Amino acid sequence: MTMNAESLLKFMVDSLDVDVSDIALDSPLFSSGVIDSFALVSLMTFLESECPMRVAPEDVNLDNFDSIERILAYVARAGSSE
Amino acid sequence: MISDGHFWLTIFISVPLYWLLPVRLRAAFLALASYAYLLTLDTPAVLALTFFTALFYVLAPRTQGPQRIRRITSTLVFAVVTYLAYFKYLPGVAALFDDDPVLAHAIIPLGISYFTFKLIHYAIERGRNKLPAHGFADFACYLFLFPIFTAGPIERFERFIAQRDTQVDTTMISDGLTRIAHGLIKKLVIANLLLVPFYGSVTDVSILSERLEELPVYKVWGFFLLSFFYLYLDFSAYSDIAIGISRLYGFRIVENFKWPVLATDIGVFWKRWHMSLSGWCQAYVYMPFIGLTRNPYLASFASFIVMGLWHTGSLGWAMWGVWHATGVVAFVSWQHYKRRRKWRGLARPGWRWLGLPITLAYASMAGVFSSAMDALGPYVALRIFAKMLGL
Repeated sequence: MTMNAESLLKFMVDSLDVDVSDIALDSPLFSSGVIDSFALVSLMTFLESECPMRVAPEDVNLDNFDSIERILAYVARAGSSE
Repeated sequence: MISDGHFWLTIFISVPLYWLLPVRLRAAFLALASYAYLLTLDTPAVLALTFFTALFYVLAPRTQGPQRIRRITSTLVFAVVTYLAYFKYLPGVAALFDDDPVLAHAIIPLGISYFTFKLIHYAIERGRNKLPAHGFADFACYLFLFPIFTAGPIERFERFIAQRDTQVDTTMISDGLTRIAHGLIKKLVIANLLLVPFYGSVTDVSILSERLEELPVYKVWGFFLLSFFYLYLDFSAYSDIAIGISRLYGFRIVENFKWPVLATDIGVFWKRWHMSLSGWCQAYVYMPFIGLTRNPYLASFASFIVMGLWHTGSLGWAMWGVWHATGVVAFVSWQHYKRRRKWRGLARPGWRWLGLPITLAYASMAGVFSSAMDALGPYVALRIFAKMLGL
């Protein structure tokens, strides 16, 4: 499956119970507290289940996960290197 | 520093000179001015930091292969953590085996906790190739900038470079001076003059311990609540002053406090209390732990214990970390439980505000570990703890 912003937003609503009405593609998610940092593991598991990729330990940082556009960019990079 | 006349003299002389200089020379000038001032405070510490500054600037990896980047970054981080441990943690460990260890006489270098964390951040982000182009003067200015050297905030390098104005105007100077005034009023008037008298006869934790049996529970609570408020006013005042002075040079330093005393839960509290330290630990402890273990509970405990030990290498501060981690883990678990049960009513403002006194009480109780446990030992700390719980 190709990851896109809609899939991510749907995951955030369904699984993390986040109100996504004010979330833009570049809105900070973890550093702003929109998503609590405990949900990071759920997000990683979701990405790995939906995309042909594995999140490497050294990739777990805010540069890769702190907004929808960063997550999508990371998934595209990680998927292409698999 | 604020009681040191040379501190204010350095500002008074260097601010106008800084703005008179061409932009390309300002970072070098401010680094040198900071360096000269800090040398008068703690020459060995500044010389050691000079060594680390050169080492990290020259060796921090940029465009090498991933294996080499990892190796160099790890070596640099190990070197500076060893330096930190030698002064801050080994004396405590040595004291377990020797009544008067040689290491106990080592003087902790000025600002060591702040500059080691800034160096670690720099090495890691440079290895990730996430830092903007910069020269040695920018890096030296970032590390040595004297207003934030001893009490933070722990600024990030890319932010430090990006949030720097090159044109001086009256608004900037007025904002800086106002912020300094806020800090001084907070520290000298509100904390020292208005708050301290409320302690009454129980002015420190030793007196509290001696009179523990005779004191009513509310007085014990009062002592720790007052200590918490004093700590907040004192520390946030230093941050205000540091941020205000930095503004006089055109820098917008990251905020450290955002009304944590009004936090309605412990999660929000930690988004508002010592934000630069918690942000650092989120980036360099919590997330790597998540990457390695995929266990947010373990990652939380690791992060808070690091935060505790960052203050002081002692059992009390480690327990302070455990206490806060327990609070955050319990709170987040409760949030997830509510979400699964669809208990949305509990998110209403009325319910939320009930969390404010609970959060204040919880954060204040952490003082039992950070002050009483280290000063008086675990047994006395537990007695105080039990007393507060009415046991």
